[in-house]
Amino acid sequence: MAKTPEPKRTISLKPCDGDVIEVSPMIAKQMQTIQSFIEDDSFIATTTIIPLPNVTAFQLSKIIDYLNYHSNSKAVADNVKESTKKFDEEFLKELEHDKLKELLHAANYLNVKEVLDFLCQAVADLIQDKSVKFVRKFFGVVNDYSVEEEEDIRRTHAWAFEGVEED
Amino acid sequence: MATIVASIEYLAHEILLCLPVKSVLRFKCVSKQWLALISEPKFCHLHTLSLYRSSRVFPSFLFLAHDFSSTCEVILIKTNDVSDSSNFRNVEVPIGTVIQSCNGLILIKNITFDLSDVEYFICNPTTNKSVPVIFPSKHFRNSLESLFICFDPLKSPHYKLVSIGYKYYTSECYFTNMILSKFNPSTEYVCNIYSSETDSWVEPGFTFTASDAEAPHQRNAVYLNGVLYCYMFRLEKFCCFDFETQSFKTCPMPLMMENRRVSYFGESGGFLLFVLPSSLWIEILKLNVENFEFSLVKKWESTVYEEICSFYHVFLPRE
Repeated sequence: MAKTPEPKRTISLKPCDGDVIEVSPMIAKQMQTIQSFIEDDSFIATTTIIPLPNVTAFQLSKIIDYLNYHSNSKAVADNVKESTKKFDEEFLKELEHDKLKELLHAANYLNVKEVLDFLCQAVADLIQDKSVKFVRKFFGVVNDYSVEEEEDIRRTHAWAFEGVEED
Repeated sequence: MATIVASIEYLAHEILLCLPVKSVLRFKCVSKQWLALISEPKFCHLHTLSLYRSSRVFPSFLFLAHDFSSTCEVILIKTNDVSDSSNFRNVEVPIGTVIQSCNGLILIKNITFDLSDVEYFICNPTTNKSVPVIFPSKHFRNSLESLFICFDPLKSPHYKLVSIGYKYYTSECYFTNMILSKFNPSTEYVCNIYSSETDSWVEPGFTFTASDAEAPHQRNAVYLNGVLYCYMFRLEKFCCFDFETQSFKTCPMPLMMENRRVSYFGESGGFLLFVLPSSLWIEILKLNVENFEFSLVKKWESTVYEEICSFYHVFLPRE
């Protein structure tokens, strides 16, 4: 029996600003947007390169790092919690506000639930004690309240406006 | 552009679900769109469930709504985690007395100044919102002996009210009826149920006779796992209200509680709690309602003061 060459096992992803990045099908599977590409009939694993015009190489590699770490750490039971926590902290430490926000959008575009949940919690932790002004700026939301309307909400929930961090 | 806006809204929704109540209330101020998002009943329910899932729900406060005062004094209970609501205080509530608290909602009763009328309110102190309880008729309202609020966000975003009223109510005065019933050992009561989901009362309800004229009373009532439990202090037994069959059933009591006085009946950490004082010991028992097993939480030698004192509030950490 003739030996067929080993089929290519990785999926090729092309971010908007860099070289093609190869990922394992296990990792690609967790990105819903990629998964729907793969399931498409015209997809040929050996030749197709999936273009990602909305994702930078930095963002893509961050997301892959996260998925790689977390899919490996699931296998080992002991001390996982401690080291996972450390990994997550390190992961976020490298991200400034803008980068965190952009990464969130990239994770949303790729539709990768695990990273999306993690980043949503990270943003929540960041803004939890922040002022309304900070949040408007962070999300690029324009204040459409009149002075009276805003004052009314502040009065109704006065306790929620205490103990807020300085911007 | 449209997709970016849509994705921001979706992401804002997901992020808000991760935040504590205090932050969510503050961010109502961000924009009208955020206010609409946060005020959406579906969002509120999802947010409550996410708080339960991440074990961020625990007894945190005692509310002391004084008669004839429109603000409510809040006493903080020191638990391990009070970080997100430690400034929660002086909630504006309708005038009256807090007669029951149930998973974040409180029921307030107010007897009007001339003693001729009674009004009830349901209040969410966290959001500072309250609604009056609307009864089918004035007669219905004035004949009430007890009103219970039943709310469990893990089971439903809607609450229910269970009312117990005198069947043969005639007088216009609330107190006359109350006093008359005490002298009639077999007073007949009518029980009706209101659902906030349909915003309607089920009429005509059902009639029952309470022995020794002790109808279930909200001060001694606890809503747990979809069942309303009431302790009858005079009868020394407790009963539960079954919403399916719409009837009160007497619950079995263990031997250790026979002929013992109960000075407090409440719920905490998913258990029903009983405080049993005697001249020698004070005992706190907990009841697991899943298997109806009683167990001792704490026992200590009593002082004279403790024996007569009945102002206990017991809190257990949720397991």
